[in-house]
Amino acid sequence: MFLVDGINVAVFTEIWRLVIYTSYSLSRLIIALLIAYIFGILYGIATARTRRSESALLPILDVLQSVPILGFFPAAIFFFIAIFEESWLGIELAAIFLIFTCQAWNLAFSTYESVSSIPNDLREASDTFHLKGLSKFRNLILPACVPKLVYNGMMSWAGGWYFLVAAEIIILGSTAYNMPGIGSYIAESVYSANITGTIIGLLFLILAVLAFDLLIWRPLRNYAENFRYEPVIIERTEIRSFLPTSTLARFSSLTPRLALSNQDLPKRVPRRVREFAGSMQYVTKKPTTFLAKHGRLIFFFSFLSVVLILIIISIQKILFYIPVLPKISDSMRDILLIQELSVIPVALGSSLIRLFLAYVLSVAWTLPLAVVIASKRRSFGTNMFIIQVFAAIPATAIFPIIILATIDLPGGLYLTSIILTMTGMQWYLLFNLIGGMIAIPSDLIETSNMHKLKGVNKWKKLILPAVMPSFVTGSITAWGGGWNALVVTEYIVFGNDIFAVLGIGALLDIAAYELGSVGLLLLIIVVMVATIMIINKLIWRPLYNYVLSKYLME
Amino acid sequence: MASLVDMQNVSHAFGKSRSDLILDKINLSINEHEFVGVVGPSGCGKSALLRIIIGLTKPTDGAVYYRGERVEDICKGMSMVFQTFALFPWLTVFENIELGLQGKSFSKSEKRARVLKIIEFMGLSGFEEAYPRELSRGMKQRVGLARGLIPDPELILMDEPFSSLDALTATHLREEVLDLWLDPSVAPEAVIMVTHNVEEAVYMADRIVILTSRPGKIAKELEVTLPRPRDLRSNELYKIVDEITGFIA
Repeated sequence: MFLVDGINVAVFTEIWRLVIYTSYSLSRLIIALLIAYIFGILYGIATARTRRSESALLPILDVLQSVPILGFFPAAIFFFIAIFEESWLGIELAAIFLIFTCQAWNLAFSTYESVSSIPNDLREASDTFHLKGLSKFRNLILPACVPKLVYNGMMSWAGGWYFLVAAEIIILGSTAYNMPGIGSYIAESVYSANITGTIIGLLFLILAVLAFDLLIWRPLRNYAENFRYEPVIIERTEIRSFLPTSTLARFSSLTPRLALSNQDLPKRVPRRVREFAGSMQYVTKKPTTFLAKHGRLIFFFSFLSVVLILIIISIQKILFYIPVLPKISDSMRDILLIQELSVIPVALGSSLIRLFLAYVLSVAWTLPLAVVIASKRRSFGTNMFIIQVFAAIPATAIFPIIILATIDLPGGLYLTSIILTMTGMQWYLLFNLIGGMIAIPSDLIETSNMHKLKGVNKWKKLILPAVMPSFVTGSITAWGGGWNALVVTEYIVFGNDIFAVLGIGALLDIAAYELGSVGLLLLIIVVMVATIMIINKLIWRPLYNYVLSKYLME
Repeated sequence: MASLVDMQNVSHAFGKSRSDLILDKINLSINEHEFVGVVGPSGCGKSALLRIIIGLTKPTDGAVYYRGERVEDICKGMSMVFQTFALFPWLTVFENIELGLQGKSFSKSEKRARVLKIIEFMGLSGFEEAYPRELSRGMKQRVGLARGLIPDPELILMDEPFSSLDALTATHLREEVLDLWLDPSVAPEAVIMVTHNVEEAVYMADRIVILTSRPGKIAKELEVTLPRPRDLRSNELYKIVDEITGFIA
């Protein structure tokens, strides 16, 4: 039925396949994010409920958060695949669970932070007016969480894309389950040196990321503005939250208006569609009126897209029978075995050095860029948009390209591994730094211009102190991202080659994939988690508190 | 005169040691038809006093009785007006005020009618669908007052209700609150207003309770018998103000 003259059927089916794959991946990510939201909100509220629940539940979350996604592999595989016996459903659920594990914890944290920093007067007001149970949840607790839940939802969403490739290729013993999805498609194209496939795949992926950002996150981000407290009410001590929540919001108003306005659309577009498209950019001012006005349309569109995805998937099932579980050849087994546990400390040290260097390099390019971007207010929107597009590309999918491009540079393997690790760290730094730069009050800038602050002096007296809080926040999140990235950056299967460097992440992969040793896997995870927690306790926490008490502006 | 609220030997401390004591053996009765002003230096536990009366805070020692019954939980017959307004930023003016009817068994249309009535009464007409951030501070406190009034409380507790307003707005709103107080169709049985502004207390209250600083003790109670409407610049009023200021300093 697709044999129309003049259309290359092969390309057509390829594109069709990609549409299907993208909808599969999107469904996985959306389902995982929804579950992550439900989990995060419930866990966060439970944690913030009493002192006792806080001291019991918060450390658990701390540990869970520092376990890298691959650490959950055994759990995912043993639990889901054992229950569903290698069926399609079990493997899908395992993949969704893996994506969930890189989305859920920050949502729980942000709920906990939001709930525990609800201003006292609002709590008292809701008590004196007898708000209880569901009505307290609806009128006080949930609205108070909205801004951070939206911001962190975006982070989780990006995290989901980053680990999509890892989640769509699940390895069980000697078999690898390669799920239909855009992540596995790109990975496969790259591994088999299929350049056209890679480019089209990346294009689809970027389109999906951008469309989702435009249709979901941008309106949500604007909508969330209505749930902020006015600065008067928030007490200094209560600003425990990370700064980007307040600073990133500024981007949304400055990024170019991509949403079409009412008039931009041709007349023959149905009126309702035009109205909806036109309102995308004005979603914000009055949430209730917006919902009242467009609630049905929003519902209609979300319903339509779900139905569309389902239809696409079922058509594909009927028309083009693409086997759901193509199996990757088991070519990667012949690699070093770990004979002695003494490798662990060496690998840990080597990973730490790698993370540190990647961090330094990330700072080296993001800090100046942030200053430049923030100072060019006129082109700020366009620049932010370009950066967002770059940040949206899940680097994991193009690792082999990065490897090929950098492996011959001086430093070879080591430099390459550092660059790969940077992909998991740099964006957190860049976005936080830009947020911090944008938030410098204009009176301070004017004063320093008046006193002709320049060069080193300007950096010392104005820029560095002003961005310090966002710098520390960015560093904390960047290191978190870096630890998580180690498992996908230190050990990469590339066709028949394996690209691996000595490191704790690579050890984790080897334990999971090569040896299938749960004991060793657990041991490595414990070592890794302990290291992360010690570093957090000894370096980041104190630094964060110090910087907040000294540099926070309000 | 029947007393509405009785505080018996109420002490309150944040920690365990004596230096944490913020209220020390307070004995205080609030009568019907009485506007009571509580004044004292900052940190004397004025706000804690209100929170103990309404039942938000459990006193470390002693008890509060409301119409002869011990206050154990948040008291249904009282409502509170906050210094910081405590409006929910994500709710409209209408919805914020409607919160005051929480737990009352009115039908939806009756609730709506009541809210609209008080909105009109407080001069908030036209702002029903506005969000707090779109209002001036004076308007915000009007919403706060409306929310406090709508459940028809017997006692309204006001915690520094005018101190986050600019001078002019505060003067206006004070007049409005006094008009309210003198209007039998809406006035509660009694009002307790905490303030650090002695003139304000003398201008508005029938009786003034002076608290000492940490730990807060009642230094003196003083009836203000000046006829209403009072003149904020009169010598009689300033005599009383000076007397009270002497106690605080």
